[in-house]
Amino acid sequence: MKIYPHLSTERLANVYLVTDDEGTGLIVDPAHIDKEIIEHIESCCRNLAAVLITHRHVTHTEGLGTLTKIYSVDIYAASDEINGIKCRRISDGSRLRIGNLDIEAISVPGHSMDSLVYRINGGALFTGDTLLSGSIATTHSHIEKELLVHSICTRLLTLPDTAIIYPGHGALSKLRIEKMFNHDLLESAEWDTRSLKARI
Amino acid sequence: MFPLTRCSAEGCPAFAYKDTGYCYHHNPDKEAILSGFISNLEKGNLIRDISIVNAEVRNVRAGKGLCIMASNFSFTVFEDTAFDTSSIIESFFDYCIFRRCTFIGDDIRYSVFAGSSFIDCRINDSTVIHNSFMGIDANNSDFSSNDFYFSNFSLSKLVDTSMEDCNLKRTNFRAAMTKNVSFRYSNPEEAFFRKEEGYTI
Repeated sequence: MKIYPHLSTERLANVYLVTDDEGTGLIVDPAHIDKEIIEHIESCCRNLAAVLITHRHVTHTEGLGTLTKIYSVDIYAASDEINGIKCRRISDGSRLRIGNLDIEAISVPGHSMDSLVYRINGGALFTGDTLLSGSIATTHSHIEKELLVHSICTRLLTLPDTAIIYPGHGALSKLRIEKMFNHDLLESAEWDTRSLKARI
Repeated sequence: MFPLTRCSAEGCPAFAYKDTGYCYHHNPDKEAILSGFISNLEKGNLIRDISIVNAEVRNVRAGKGLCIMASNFSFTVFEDTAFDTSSIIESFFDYCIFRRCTFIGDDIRYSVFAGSSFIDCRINDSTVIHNSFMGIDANNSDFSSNDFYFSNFSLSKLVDTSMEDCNLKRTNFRAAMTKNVSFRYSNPEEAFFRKEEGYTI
């Protein structure tokens, strides 16, 4: 598996091209499709087969129209359509096999109710806005923030520490790093309770 | 990307080195792997898709044009090592110890140095954009004349360290502790220092 991160300067969002060893590939969150990412696709990917959407915010889906005009791809998301483009609906626990890539969708609501994290080949987590390097996503209310922290603690932080995080914004990370240095998680009440329990 | 498969040794949580099935430490060719890595460093070859965790690298001068891509070197100790004029892309150097190391004229992107210690190190004249330096400990180091655009120093501890003449636009210093750090000729006003200054989207 190869993963090519690309910083979209239009939206300051990360677009990821993931390919297997035979050149079948997919895009995670087509924030903005520019010449550089097209060149990446053309040089590294023989068959762009799919697009995975972590959540429907325009910051991460704006390039969907451009991408579907150029490539014939299946779009997977937690809804039936995004920006007027038909998607294949997937939900928590859905498993896909695209080329040699094994993909599992994990529902992590909070930032938006349709937020999905994609776990590819067991160790790479594409978290969208849910979990970023050093912070978590913004939410509209305290209740949503509690829900987000709870979702992260129960659905993501239970995975192996060495899992690599490919967030929708900012630098890459690992779960171990986020457990130690994620300021939002360290500040949260649930995190306090959990780490206290772990110590006892 | 380095293989995300676990080491075949019982109870070992580390990633396998390349496709050998075993991590660096449980690999029967451990010595050869490390010497091959050091030889590639010195020759300035492309180092790609490998995982060497908790190794020790000392007194190495990287060859001109060295490129490290999609590799993992967590918990490794680098002493008196020069990574000058190198490219480091999408690689993990988390929880490493860098002592008397230099990164001069480098291109470092999408890489992770979180939790590492930098002691008597120099990062100068480099493009260091979109990297994680979360929770680093930098002591008596010189991080001057770099472009740190969109890099993350949150929860880091910077002591007696110079960050002069750097581009700090969108650089995140949230909850960082600085003591005797000089930002002369840099633009800290464009960096994020407090939580209230929205960093996340």
